[in-house]
Amino acid sequence: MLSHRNPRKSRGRPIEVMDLMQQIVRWRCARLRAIHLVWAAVAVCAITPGGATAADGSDPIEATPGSTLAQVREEKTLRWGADTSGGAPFVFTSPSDPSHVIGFEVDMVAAICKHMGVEPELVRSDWNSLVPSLEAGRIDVVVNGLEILPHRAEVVAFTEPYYEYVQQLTVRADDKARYVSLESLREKPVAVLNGTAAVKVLEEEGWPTKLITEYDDSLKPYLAVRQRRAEAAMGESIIASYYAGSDSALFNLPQTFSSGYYGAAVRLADRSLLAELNRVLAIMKQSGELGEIYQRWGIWNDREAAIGVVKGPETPVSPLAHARLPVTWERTARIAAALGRGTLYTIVLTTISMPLALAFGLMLAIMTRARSWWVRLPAQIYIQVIRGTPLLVQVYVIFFTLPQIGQWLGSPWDDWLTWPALAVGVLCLTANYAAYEAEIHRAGLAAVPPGQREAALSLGMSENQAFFRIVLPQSFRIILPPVINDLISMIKDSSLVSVVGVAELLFVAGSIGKASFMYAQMLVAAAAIYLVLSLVAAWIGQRVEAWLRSCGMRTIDGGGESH
Amino acid sequence: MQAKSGWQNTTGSPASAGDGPAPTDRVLLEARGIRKRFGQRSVLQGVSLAVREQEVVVIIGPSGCGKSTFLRCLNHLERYDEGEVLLDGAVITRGTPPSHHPHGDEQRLIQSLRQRVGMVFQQFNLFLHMDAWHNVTAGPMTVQRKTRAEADALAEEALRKVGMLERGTAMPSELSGGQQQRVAIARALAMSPDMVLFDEPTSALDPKLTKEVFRVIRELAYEGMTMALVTHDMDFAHDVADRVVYFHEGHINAEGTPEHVLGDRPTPELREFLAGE
Repeated sequence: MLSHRNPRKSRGRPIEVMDLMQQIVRWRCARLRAIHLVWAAVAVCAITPGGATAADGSDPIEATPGSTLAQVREEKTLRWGADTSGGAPFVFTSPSDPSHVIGFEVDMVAAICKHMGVEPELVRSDWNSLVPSLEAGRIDVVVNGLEILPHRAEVVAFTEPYYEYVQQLTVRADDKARYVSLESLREKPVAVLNGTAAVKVLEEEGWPTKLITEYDDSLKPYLAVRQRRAEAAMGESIIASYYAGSDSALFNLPQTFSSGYYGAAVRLADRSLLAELNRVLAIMKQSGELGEIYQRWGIWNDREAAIGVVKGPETPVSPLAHARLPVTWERTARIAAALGRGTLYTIVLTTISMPLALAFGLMLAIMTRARSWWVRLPAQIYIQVIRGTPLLVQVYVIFFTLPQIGQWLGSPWDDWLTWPALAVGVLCLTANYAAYEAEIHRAGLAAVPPGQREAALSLGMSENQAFFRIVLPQSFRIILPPVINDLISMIKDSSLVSVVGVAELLFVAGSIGKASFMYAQMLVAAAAIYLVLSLVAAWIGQRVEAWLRSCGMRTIDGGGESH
Repeated sequence: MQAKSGWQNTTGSPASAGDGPAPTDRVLLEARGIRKRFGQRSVLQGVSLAVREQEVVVIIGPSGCGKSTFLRCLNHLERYDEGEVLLDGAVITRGTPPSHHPHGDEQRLIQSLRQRVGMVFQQFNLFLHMDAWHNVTAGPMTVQRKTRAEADALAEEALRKVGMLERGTAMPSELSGGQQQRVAIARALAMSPDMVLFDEPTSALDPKLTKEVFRVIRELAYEGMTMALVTHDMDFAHDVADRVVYFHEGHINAEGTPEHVLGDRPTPELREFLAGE
């Protein structure tokens, strides 16, 4: 039952990132390994359906002072993590109004919090970063279709399952007479989400690898069926219902395969929070409250009764439970506004990070020119390491190690080092680009004729005056084109910091696209905006160069006859 | 580029050094036993030279004889291994090992010397990001902490002296080599130096532009400016020098009045050098 691989392993991110993340998690967890072993046994008990601890009681669980539960109650806030770009109908950007995040888990967490007497605070994060974020203390609980799997239960503690999912086949409506079961699709290409249970089902049914097309997010298999690149898609029933349920061109076959459970996850040590969540979940299951939410999102089925969810009063399905919404001016305007906010984040990230990177890069460049090896060496190592490793890895390392260092140093460092996502984004871009700008500075400084420094010194200027008043201004004019080049590059690289939860342009476009079945349109819109931003940056660069030339100052192609 | 300044046409006949004031007995700048090696090659092998107030010393010699290096040792743009440099009889710098880098008081002494001893380079080295005017005011404002108004007054005087007053707003790239060198001289003069070092000031110029720069230097000599000047131009050396020094393979091979050194040619090396000119 729990033997298949992560069913939604890499929503939106390439597979290597997940492996890498697991490595980072392992490395970070080495210190906690001993504790893990002790808790592993307890955690296995916790994932067995029905093996409840204090979940049946209706009195709130008592919290030990200093525990996460005590802190949640004290601050009256439950910080829960989810990937808002991930997928419908779990937690996703509302296709009708992209400034809102909706989904059955949003409703579920809201209900849980109401029972606990606290407010929910959604902390957005890349799906692959959810568990590390939990460990780093950025969030208290993960509620985002996290499958209860043994390898995960070693790292986090799961609540009782709140939903049982199955795999389901989707075909084009025109073909529904032809394709009535998996058997009738034999020898035909089937699209799946990569690394999911669907792959395993198909392999067991004898599908050769070349007929299984894997995609990296939950929308693409259904697009592939519509566009006739595959004859059928196999995926989780609730995703199928969201994307294909309202699409007259697609049809969901009734046959289902290979089930599993979703659970909420907390840190292994947070036993009281786990018990409290289990207590509330049990109440919500029995009262029909949870069943009502499932009905509203069109994901109710009789399997859920088996894990103790009472259906509750008959509830109509919300129009938001399906991807296809009518295109109206109002909705278009809201989407445009959301893209505008994303663009603003991209602009803010870049306009803050680039000057900082230039300044820090200059410092590094000066260090590499120093006479003492112990000044040169750290700068050289920094430049080589930063240039030699992917920005994405740096983002993860900075995002997860900063709070970890804070926890290790204790109060008040734990507060000081848990930065908001935007600040982490700026830090990452600055740290990364500084290494490149350092080399540009070095080249620029070397390109200023040595006679300039000597002439300054011969007037009695100090080395610092000669550097900052004479050499650096000339170097800056020389490095302007490559710096503008890097500025344009940074505008696009800034999308990488979305993994730490900065809602920049590409993240927003992807979120809306996935939730509204307009993936291609949204990405083209984002590309167009990036292009405009790049053109503006290039134009500014040209204006500055032209201005310097008009002053007769030396730039790359405006040389004088002086030498 | 054609020199556009009207200065050379309006000024009367050029002054010659003979018309300038005679050197006083007071030694302004003195080098004692300067030795310098570049790796295995010995460039300066114990050179001593004392420049008196209002004296014009012209240094001549074949390429690679160490004359430019010696000039750069005087204001410590170049470190040297042994010897010492004195200004007004006080030791400013001494020979140091190659790993030594001056700092603190040592550095302040060097800067104080450079403020009083200006330098003009073969390649002009005007600050390329500033116009002529700001090139001249940069020193007084940055180093001597003069106000903009004071610096402007100094720049006006210096630029007028070199005939470049009307080209103050020109960028270096808009000026001919000769004009650039005249601005570079004005830049040195704006610091009100006691002495100016000229390192082959006309070697990068064609004969016509050379003339306009020599005219400015001759004028300075006439006004009694103390100067040490490295050049390959024997006629100019003869014309402007109070004393000519002939460098040969890192030594002073011959020195004396222009008539003695350039006329009598006292050593075989000097005769060979001048025959080749």
